Amino acid sequence: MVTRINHENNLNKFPPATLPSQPVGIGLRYPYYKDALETDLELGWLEVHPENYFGGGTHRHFLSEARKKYQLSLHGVGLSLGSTDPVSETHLQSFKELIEIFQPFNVSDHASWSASGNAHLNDLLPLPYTHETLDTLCLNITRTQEFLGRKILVENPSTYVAFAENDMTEYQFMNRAAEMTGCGLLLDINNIYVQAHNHGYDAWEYIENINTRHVGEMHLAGHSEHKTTGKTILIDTHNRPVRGEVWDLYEFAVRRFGAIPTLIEWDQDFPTLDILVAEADKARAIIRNFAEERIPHAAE
Amino acid sequence: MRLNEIQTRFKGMMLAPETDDALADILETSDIPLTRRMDVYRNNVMSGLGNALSANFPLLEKLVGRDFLSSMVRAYIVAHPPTSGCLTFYGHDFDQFVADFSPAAHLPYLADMAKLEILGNQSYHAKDDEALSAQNLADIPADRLEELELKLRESVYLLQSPWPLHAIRAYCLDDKMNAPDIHSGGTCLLVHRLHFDVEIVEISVDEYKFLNALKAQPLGQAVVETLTTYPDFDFENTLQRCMKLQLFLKPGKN
Repeated sequence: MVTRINHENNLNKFPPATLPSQPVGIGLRYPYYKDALETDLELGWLEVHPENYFGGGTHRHFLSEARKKYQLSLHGVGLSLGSTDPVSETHLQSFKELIEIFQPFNVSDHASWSASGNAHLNDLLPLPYTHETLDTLCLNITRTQEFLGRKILVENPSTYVAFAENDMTEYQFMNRAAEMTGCGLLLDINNIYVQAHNHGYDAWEYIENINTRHVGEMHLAGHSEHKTTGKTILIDTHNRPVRGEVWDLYEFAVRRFGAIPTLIEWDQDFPTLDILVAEADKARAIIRNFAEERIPHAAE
Repeated sequence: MRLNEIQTRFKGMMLAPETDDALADILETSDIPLTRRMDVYRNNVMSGLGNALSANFPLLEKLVGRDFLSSMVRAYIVAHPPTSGCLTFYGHDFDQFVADFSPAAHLPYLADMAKLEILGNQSYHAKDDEALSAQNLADIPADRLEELELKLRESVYLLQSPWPLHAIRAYCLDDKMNAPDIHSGGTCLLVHRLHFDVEIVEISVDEYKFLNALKAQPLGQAVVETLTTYPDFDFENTLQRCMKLQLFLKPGKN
C-alpha cells in the first residue's frame, strides 16, 4: 500500500553532517531498505554507492528516509581516479548534487581505474605503483576535491595481478597520495589481507606503515578462496562474513588508528539484516576493547 | 610501458578472450597462471555489466529465455561498453542492437519490446519533479490557456509500435495467457511513474499525437495539430485523463 508521498522530500536538502554517534556502520542495499529504515538499529551510520542514486524515484526516496535516521557515507565506485583520462565532469556534477542534498560525513572512491578511452568497465582495476601513476592519481584526486569543494577519502584496492616494476610499495603509494593531495585514506582491512595473500607480503607491516593521521574510514568484508592449479587466490567478493584472520588484522588496526568509522560491506548473496548487524556489533566490541569508543578526529 | 597504454591494453583483454603478450610481459609472474588471474577481472567485468543490463529486461527474458538474452547482452557489452561510471541508464540503445542482432531476426517485435523496457527503466530512475495539480491548472486564466506551455514530466515517455506490445507484455506477465497474434495491429503506449511505480498504459493514436505535439508547441497549437489529423480527437477527456495520471510538469519549478 502506497502512502501519500510528498515528492518535495526528494528535493529538500539535509542539514550538515555531524560525526556518527558510534563508529560502526553498514552498507544500505536494496534488500535492506524496508528493514533498515523501519527498525531502530544500533548503528552509527549507513553507506551507499552514490552512482545508484544519481537518478530520482524510489532509490532517492529511500536514501532520504535513511538520511533522516542516520549519518551517511557516500562511497563512489565510478570516479576512476587512476585513469589517465581526467575524471568525468558529468559524473562529478551528479556526485556534487547528491553531496549537497544528502550532506554525507565522508565521501570516498578508490585507488584504481575503470575507464579507458570511451569505455567504463565498472570494475576496480589494478594500477602499477610508479611515479607516473602517483602523479596521474593525484591529479584526479585534486580535480575531484576542487570540484566537490571538500576532502575525499581514497581506498586501497584488492588486486589479482601485480606489475613487475613498481617504484614503491602499495602502502608508500597510498601515504604519498594522501600527502600530495591532502586526501584521507579509506583503509580496507580485508583488501590488505587479500593483497598480502595474493602478492606475498606482510599485512601487518602494511598497517604499521600507513600514516595514522591520514585514515578517515575503515572497511571490513568477506572474501572468497578460489583454488586453481593447487594454489589459492583470494577474491574480494563481499558475499560472506568477515574472516577470523581479517578480524585479527582489524584489531591490530584499531589499536593503531583508534575508533575510526568502520563499515561492514556486503554486496551479494545478501544475508538477513540481523547477520549484518551482528558483524557490526563484533566490530564495535573490538573498538570498545582496544580504543576509546569516540571518533578521535573530525572526518569531513 | 606508459600508464595510458597499460590501460588501453588491459581494457582490450577485458573485452576479448585473447592474452595481450606485451601486457603479460610487464605483469608479475605467480604460481597461478596469468590467464586465471585475468579471468577474475574478466568475470567481474562481464558478469557485473551483464547482470546490471539483463535485470532491466525481464520481459525479453520471458520471450527469449535467459541464455538467449545473456548471449545478446554479452555481444552488446563487447560492442558497446558503458561510457559512464553510472550504469543506471546503460543500455539506452540496446533496442537498436536487438534490431540488428541476426539470431533474433525471426522475432521482429523484439526490438520494440526492448525499447519499452528501456523507457520503463528511464521512467523508474527519472529525476523527481512536481506534477501540475488541478488547482494549478484552474489558476491559469482562460485567455492564457492557448499559449500555455504544458510540458511532460521527466518520467513520462511515449512509444508507438507496429506490433501489439501491450498484448505481448500482458502475455509475458501472465503464464496462463495464450500467445497473442503478433499481426493483430500496432499500439501506442504511455510509460509514466506514479508514486514511484512505473505504469504502462495503452493510449489512442490521437492521444499519442497530442502528447507528442505538446513537447514542441503550446497547448492551443498542439490541439489544432491533433484535430487536423484526427477530427474526432476528444481534447477534454484526454486532458482529464492526463491530469489524473499527473503527466504534466508544474511550471516555474524544478
